Amino acid sequence: MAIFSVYVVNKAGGLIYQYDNYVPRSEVEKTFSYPLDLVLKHHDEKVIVSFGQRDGIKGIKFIVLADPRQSGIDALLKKIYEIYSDFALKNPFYSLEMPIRCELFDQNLKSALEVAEKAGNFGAGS
Amino acid sequence: MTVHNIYIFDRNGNCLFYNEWNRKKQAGISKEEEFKLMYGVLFSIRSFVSKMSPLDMKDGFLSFQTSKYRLHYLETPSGLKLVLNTDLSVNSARETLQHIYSNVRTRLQPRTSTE
Repeated sequence: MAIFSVYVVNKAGGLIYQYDNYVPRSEVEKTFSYPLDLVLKHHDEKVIVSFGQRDGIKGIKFIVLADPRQSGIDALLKKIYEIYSDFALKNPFYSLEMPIRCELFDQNLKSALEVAEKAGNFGAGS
Repeated sequence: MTVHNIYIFDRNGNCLFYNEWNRKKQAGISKEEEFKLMYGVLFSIRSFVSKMSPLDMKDGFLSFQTSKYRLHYLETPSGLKLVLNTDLSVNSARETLQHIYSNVRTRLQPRTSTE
């Protein structure tokens, strides 16, 4: 799997969403051609509407752990932010900074990950 | 291709060498504090990267980037830590750092007793 994990961290530093997509292997053959190292991208989000601050949606951090060969992570991060803001805006039962427990968010996130993996995993991108 | 500055730390965290070529913005703290901050950041990131890794790591922490610069890191078996800050056009400065290391070592060795 080229995209290993997705985490969302709130303003206070608490983990509000986690999605893991790897099989932890206890016995590993070192001679396999594993990806060398992880590319850790950190995206610090602030949303400021021109009239002022919007519901305090700022300081949300999206973290994606992926294979270094995977391209298009910046676009993926933006996509995740879109899915998050769609979800946070449209779901009346979700309060900000709280753990995210919504099926729609999960579903959309997983499909966005699939799209990104398919599109980006040729090294140079297709 | 711009190189902003370089730091070299020994395994105890002392900054052995610092040079800057093209630094547009200072940190606003004394050099001593800046070195401590840099060393602390390296230590924390290395620890974070190894804990978060879903696979066995080969080299560990290599570099990070912001929207303005990229920080490249090399740690030698003797615990020497080299840090190079460049603009974003440099994808990997690992070879450069390795080259610096092999030249620096021959000059530092007579002065320090750490092998």
